[in-house]
Amino acid sequence: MLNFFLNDVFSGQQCTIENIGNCHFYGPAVPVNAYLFLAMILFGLGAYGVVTRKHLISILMCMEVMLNAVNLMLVAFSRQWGLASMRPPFVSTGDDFWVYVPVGQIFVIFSLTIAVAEAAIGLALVYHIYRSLGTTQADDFDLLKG
Amino acid sequence: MTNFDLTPYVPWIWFSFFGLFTLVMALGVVFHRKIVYNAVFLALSLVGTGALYITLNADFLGIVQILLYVGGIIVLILFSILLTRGEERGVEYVNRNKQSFWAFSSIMGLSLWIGVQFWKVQWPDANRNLAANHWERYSEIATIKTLPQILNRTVPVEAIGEGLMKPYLLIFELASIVLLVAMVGVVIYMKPEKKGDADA
Repeated sequence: MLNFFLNDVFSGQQCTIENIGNCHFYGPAVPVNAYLFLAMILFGLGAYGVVTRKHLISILMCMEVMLNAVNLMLVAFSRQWGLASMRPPFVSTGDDFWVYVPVGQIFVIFSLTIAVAEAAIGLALVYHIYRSLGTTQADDFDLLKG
Repeated sequence: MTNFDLTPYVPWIWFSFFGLFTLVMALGVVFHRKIVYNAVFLALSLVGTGALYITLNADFLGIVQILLYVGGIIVLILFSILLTRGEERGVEYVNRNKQSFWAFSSIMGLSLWIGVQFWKVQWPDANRNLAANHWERYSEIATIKTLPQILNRTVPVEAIGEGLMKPYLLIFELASIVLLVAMVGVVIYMKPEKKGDADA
């Protein structure tokens, strides 16, 4: 598997702007698969932490790890599929043409916004729970147990 | 030995270094027992992810990641740790029993399997075909600025700004409304109760 990637990435000819249609890679870049693999491992670790940790703030931190893994995937895909078509509603030239719109990075910016809001609300909830119940251990919250 | 050229392996070296760094720090977040250490590990893991963004030609996002997370969220988390601490010293924060082993095996097995599936896919290189078309049609007017990825350049911040302001303007405004609502909600939620209806 590694051999396949090494051959594919490093034995291809270097790309210039003239032979961009024929060459296999633009340069000796790490393929997107490696980033996706790393992001999956990070996501699994975060999910395990969310399941296992007992302190509420630890659970929030593990959720941050999961969010981070998803953001990494988005950025990796953005490098792979960054070129997008701009059609006449969005451009003034009348003809559609290809420009670089880093859609994945824009989504990561939205995701960061949501993550900030989630952290603020989550930590406010944790503090409120601590004020009213006097604990932050997830096992102690059994008010609805009956 | 003398002819060995390290240059093509440099991206792999950066990726391995920062990837391993991020992974080890995430392990610290998940497995370390002390919660303040968890926060510090989380900060370092986020810094490693910002470096990985920079290896993906997304410099702006890397900087934003470090500013926003390490400057904002980590400080928030540390403050809430300080505010809610005190009573449970010496309490075991991590569940370690028979179920946690099976949880770890199943979750990590599943995500490793999905990761291997990702690894096996030969992702279609959309950029190359689009760039070829672009070059054939607009070779006389094509500039480097419209083709940053092809030349392995950094993504310009103007591209992100144009994307935010032209096709994704509605989502941008919705995100700002979400932030506003969250801020107002937190302020209202954290207000102390009035004396009349203090039954909680």
